[in-house]
Amino acid sequence: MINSNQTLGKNKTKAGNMLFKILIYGIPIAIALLTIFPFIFMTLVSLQHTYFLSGNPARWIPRKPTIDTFFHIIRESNFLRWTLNSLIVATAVTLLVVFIHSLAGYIFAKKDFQGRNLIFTLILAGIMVPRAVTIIPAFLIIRDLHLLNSYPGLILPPLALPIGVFLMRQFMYALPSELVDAAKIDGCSELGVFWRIVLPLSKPALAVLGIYTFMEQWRDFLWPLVVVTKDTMKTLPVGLSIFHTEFRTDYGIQMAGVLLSILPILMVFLFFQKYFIKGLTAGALKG
Amino acid sequence: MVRTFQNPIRGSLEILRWPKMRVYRGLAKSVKWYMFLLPYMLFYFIFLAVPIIWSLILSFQKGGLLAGTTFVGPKNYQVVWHDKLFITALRNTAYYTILVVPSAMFFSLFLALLINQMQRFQNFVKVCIFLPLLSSAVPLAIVWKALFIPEREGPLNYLVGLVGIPPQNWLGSPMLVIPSIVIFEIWRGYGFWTLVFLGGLGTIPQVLYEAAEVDGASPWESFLHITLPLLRPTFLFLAVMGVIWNFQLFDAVYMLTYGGPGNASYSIVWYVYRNAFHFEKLGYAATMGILLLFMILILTGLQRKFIEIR
Repeated sequence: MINSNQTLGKNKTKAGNMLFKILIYGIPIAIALLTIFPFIFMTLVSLQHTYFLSGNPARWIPRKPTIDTFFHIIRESNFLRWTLNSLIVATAVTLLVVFIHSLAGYIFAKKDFQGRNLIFTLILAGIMVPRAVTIIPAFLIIRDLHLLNSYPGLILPPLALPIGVFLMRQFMYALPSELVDAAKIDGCSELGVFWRIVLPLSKPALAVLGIYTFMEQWRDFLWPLVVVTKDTMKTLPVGLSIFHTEFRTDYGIQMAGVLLSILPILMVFLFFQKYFIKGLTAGALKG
Repeated sequence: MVRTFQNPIRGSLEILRWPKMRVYRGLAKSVKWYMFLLPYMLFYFIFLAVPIIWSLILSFQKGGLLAGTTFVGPKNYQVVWHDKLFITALRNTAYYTILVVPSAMFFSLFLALLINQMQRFQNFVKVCIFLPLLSSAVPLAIVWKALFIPEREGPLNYLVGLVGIPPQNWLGSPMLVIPSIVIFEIWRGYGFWTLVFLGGLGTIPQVLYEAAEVDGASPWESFLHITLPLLRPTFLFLAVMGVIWNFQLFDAVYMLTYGGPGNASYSIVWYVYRNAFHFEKLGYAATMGILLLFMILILTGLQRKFIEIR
């Protein structure tokens, strides 16, 4: 299949080859444009107050473009606070996961001890457990610890998700054991080996895990929805979920809010595209 | 403590203890590694293992967040099968998953094969299909709620009007609401599937195709006998995870329909959420959560068997 355009080129006429090329390029580009169509729509609509939304794309082009819609959101809601909360939670979870999960992954990859396989299997089985099962008791635990409406309440439960342990084990399994042994002979402590040898060697995997975790947290909705009721403690998705009913009449403001919520991560993405694509599909490729 | 007599058989018992001693020594060594695992295992226990067991216990209780819970035995498990709303939620979730998983699979495989052939613009296409993945479902649903406006003037209705289809009440009609959610979710997620397929395609050695071409295989034949079999792990991953994720449909229901119109878009997780946090039926919600867990386990097992055998 990879070579099919060369193969076809040999067998068919020039016109056939041309048609093939048009299909190969035309279909994916058409799909790509269709995919970003809602983004173009939201950008255009966000640039003016829109009380009546027309279906005709020509009417979306703002006659008197304004960024008043954006200022309106920042003035009338806790939008900036929600963004800050989302950043704090996603960053904290990411840092903790990168350290705690890679330590566990390292032990599972390089150390032999009783009960290792059993424990690792139990941890892996956690991937299949739906959120609906854990969310009710997790809520009760967080409530009894008096951590509702707090950063620890948002940050601690996601640390249990096992995907990071799995990813890091897979990666560190492939690291040469000789390096670890050599460092130990040179008098490095176990934690020293992990900190000075294993972690630096795992930088690519850590980047992937970091981006994956950050994105998962940035996009998470159900847990923050359950654990936070105070407006100033809401994360961006939870804040936006009520905000859009507040500004129901003005599509311009709604779309401005959506755009504003995507903009920061979009900037980061455009700079680090390759890492993002690797990071988000990492779980699949290692599995 | 009373000292017992020196027993003559004791010496021989000592020998029997030897292997046991070795077990203890092995454990002592293991304890060191358990210490390193402790930070993660702590979170695993508190927020994953304990909640599963707690949910199981809750499923034999009734009551809510405010009133507290009392033991009722297996009553919840008997009642749930006669609960019309639960059956609706189950049917909707199954219908939704059956619509999403195969279509996302075929569509993204097709697209990945095309992208794989492109020598230029590959990155442009990848970036475009990645964009929806950057955002949570909430802001994207706000955009699609506007696109789905049921009046003749709605953007999506304008679009389908161009090919002669009359305006539809996308989220407001019981017939169309699940397919509409399917459209939204496929748009939101197919980029991930495509990128996973591209990753899978990248792991297939080019040499195989060259050898097949030398042997006179047509492109279609190499696709059938090289690409498809070697993509099996990718298929397995997407089929298994696709079912696990989509069986947990919640965000789109919360944002787009709130379960409506009527109960037409109730999903299992949505019904669990409503029972636990709105209806004061914690035990009942836990029961459905446990049932969901079993359903996912069974489906995962079946898929594994099915894909591995073939």
